[in-house]
Amino acid sequence: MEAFLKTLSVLYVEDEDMVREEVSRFLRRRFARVDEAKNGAEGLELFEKNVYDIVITDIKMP
Amino acid sequence: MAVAEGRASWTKDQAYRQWVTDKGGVYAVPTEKYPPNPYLSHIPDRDVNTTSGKSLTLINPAYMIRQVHEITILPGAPTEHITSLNPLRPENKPDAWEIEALKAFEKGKEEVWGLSEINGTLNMRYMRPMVAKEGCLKCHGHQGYKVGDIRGGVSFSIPFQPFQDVADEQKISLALWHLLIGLLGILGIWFAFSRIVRNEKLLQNALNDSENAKQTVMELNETLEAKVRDEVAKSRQKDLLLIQQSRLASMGEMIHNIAHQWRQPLNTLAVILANIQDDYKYNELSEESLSNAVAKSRKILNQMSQTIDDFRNFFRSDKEAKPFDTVDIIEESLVVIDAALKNNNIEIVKEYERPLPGYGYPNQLSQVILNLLTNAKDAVKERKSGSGKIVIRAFAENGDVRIDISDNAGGIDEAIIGKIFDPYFTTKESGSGIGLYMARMIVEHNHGGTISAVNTGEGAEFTIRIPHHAQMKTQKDG
Repeated sequence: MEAFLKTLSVLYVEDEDMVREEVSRFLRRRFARVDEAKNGAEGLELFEKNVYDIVITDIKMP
Repeated sequence: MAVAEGRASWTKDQAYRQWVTDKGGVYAVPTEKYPPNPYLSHIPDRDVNTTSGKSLTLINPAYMIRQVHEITILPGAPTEHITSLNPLRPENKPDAWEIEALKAFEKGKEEVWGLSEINGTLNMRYMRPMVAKEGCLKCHGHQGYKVGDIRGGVSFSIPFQPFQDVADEQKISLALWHLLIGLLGILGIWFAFSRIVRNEKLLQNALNDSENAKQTVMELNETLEAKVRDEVAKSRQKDLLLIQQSRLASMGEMIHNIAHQWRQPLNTLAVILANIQDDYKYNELSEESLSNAVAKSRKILNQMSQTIDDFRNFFRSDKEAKPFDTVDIIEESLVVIDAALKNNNIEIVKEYERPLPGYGYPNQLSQVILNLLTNAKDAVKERKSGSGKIVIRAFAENGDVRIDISDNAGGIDEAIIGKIFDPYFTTKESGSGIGLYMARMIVEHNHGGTISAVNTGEGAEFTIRIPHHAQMKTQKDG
């Protein structure tokens, strides 16, 4: 399971800095690659540029 | 009555007797029952024979009357008795009563009546004297009578019982009549008396009633103050209970709001702890990383602590009325419910006029606004999927503070819109029916303001008006 997760790429979108930092640190140790976005626009930009296996996002953002 | 009958009989018999006497006796055919009168044996020609050979005998008046009476005698009819102190016929001798009567006649009395017993039966007696006349002396002359002498008398005896009966009957009927009249009289008296008594009773009752009423009024006067005090205390107790219940209900809301408020920081803390463990696992745990984690955690914990303080401040009761800024009050409410609104994806639109000074009990008013916001949030949650919106407007109107809170959740059923401020009225499954009642109490009773609800078409709109602080102060001091 851990090995499988290590093959996946994640896009994580969160506007709150501290939460984003900590959650990103947590995710990086478990997934192959984690990209951060501070808001929806940033997230969409990354989403269109790259291919992600998983997208984790806050729903209520500026 | 008996005397009258005696007189009548006497008159009738006397007429017959007179007639026979005048004729000097009459001749009749002697029979076995009525043979020739032995007491007339001294009379020549007592017995005669007619030319045809028929024998006749002389009948004297007394003999005739006796014969007649023996024919006509009937039970209860008067019996005649011819008598004398010196009778020719021994059977005609007088009895004790007749002797007395005859003696009375010799003294000149013309009529005697009275009661006496004959063979044990009470009889009415009537007697009149017989005066010797010319005709009488034919038979009685040998006894030495002269014309004008009291020869004897005729007495009538009538059994008195029928008269007694009649008298008794009359007496009884008379007695009955008297009794009846007496009874009627007594009845009348009793009736009148009872009426008087009743009237007196009614009067007495009326007096008693009025006395009682007076007593009641006096008691009321005496106890009115205590009663008012009691009622006020009761009402106050009820209010206190409602406030208590409202606080408990608000506490439930608070826990809900705190849960929303704390969900994110708690998650963050959980991640920080997981990262510390990860740091250790990957041999990356350093003083720096640990300090960083602790600092971040402290920051989060401080935020959470602040939330508790905010909530506690919110529920702190106002010691006294004071000036406030209306927007501060609204924002304090929003601090409490903000997380819950965000978590339910409800947009808050604020249209504030600043500054908007007011006077009153800020925490109470914050509680009212929180209540309205909570209701709006619940309505949106229940009926709206996404795009929930609550608009808060605060502005001055004719010197009063006006706050409008409207939502887009469809509004309140018109059938119940008039009851929503009533105590214990609720449409929520776990509602207490206290929130809006307390809101009304706070606005109307404590601030002299008004609170109302209308449907806008999109949703419900609540309007609070708090009078200008000067008025407010006057009212409070008054």
